Amino acid sequence: MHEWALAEAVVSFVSDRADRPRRIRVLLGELQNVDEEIFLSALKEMMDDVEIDLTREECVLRCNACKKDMKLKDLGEEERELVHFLPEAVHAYVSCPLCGSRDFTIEKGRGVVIESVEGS
Amino acid sequence: MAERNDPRESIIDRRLDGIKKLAVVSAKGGVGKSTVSAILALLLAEKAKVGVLDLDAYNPSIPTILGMRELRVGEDRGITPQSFRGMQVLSFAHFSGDRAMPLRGRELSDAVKELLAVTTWDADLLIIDTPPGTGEVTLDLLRFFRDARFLVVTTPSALAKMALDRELELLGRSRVIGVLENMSERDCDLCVRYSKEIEMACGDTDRLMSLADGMRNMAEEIWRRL
Ligand SMILES: Nc1ncnc2c1ncn2[C@@H]1O[C@H](COP(=O)(O)OP(=O)(O)O)[C@@H](O)[C@H]1O
Ligand SMILES: [Mg+2]
Ligand SMILES: [Zn+2]
Repeated sequence: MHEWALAEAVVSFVSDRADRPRRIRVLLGELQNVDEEIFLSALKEMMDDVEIDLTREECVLRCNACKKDMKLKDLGEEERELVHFLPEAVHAYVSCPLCGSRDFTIEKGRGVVIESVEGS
Repeated sequence: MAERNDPRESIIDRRLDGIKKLAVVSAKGGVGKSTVSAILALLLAEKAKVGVLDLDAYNPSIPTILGMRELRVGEDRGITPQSFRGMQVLSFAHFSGDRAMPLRGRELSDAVKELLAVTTWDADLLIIDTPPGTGEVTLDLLRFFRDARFLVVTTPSALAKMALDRELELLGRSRVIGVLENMSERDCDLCVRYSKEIEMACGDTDRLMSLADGMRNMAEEIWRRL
């Protein structure tokens, strides 16, 4: 349900940029694992006449030691929830499957990103 | 090309609107920032609704000092901090537990932003414990909150004095509500004496509270300056 807070941030961002927004495009990073339904209904409740495009973005973690990319592996249920609240918490629970390093960067698919706001 | 934009920054100041913010800082580690933050929070919680935000990602200490055994956060149209002894407490330890959370600069800033953007506080005063130094956390607090006040903690050592000068040079006098001399050998409004008892009280809320009793004047003074 903290999706509501994320949706509020989007609404605040959009209203800073357009008085009459028509359409927004939002990327949802795999890492944060936002519940699309709750997020969308929160957005709809706050901006009912705006068209909302949601796209999922796959998470890519890049190891700073061996420079290889890694996909997000299965996290335990509890860890998944902590990462849902705070994506950077992934640094507490994941290491590079190739070299074992804990030093990696979230390259893509972290959280909520606004791709575009259309309107005036 | 699509512009990629971060919606969080636009809501951070609104989330903490109307809440006084006191960041406890120092360029040097180990001077007692976390201990002072915890004691101040316990004392001020008697007169106001106090939130404590522990932004030390590499070594979050607030839950340990306060003696919080089980860490859990709630969720209700945002992340709700944990209630403890009449305060609201949120720490990086709520997410990383006992594990290390190694992350580099930009991602540290990202983590700080996330907590500021999605946490819903019910507080009059937010006490913010910070990691040592003038890095991401201090810079983000300066950037997001024009109304944040800073309490700079130092000790009588020459090295701490040097760190203090650096910290003050960055923050500027108008942001700093006071310099607290911890582990002190003298008495003043913002002095806390060196005492083995303080160290021993770590993790024992009742003991901490009874020691804090002797620091009421200090807490009053800080409250007055906020
Ligand atoms: N006034 C004091 N007298 C004695 N020991 C203290 C005092 N204040 C803090 N300490 C101890 O000093 C150590 C460092 O304190 P801490 O609060 O972790 O500092 P920081 O957050 O600045 O790194 C801890 O072991 C703490 O118990
Ligand atoms: Mg500390
Ligand atoms: Zn690697």
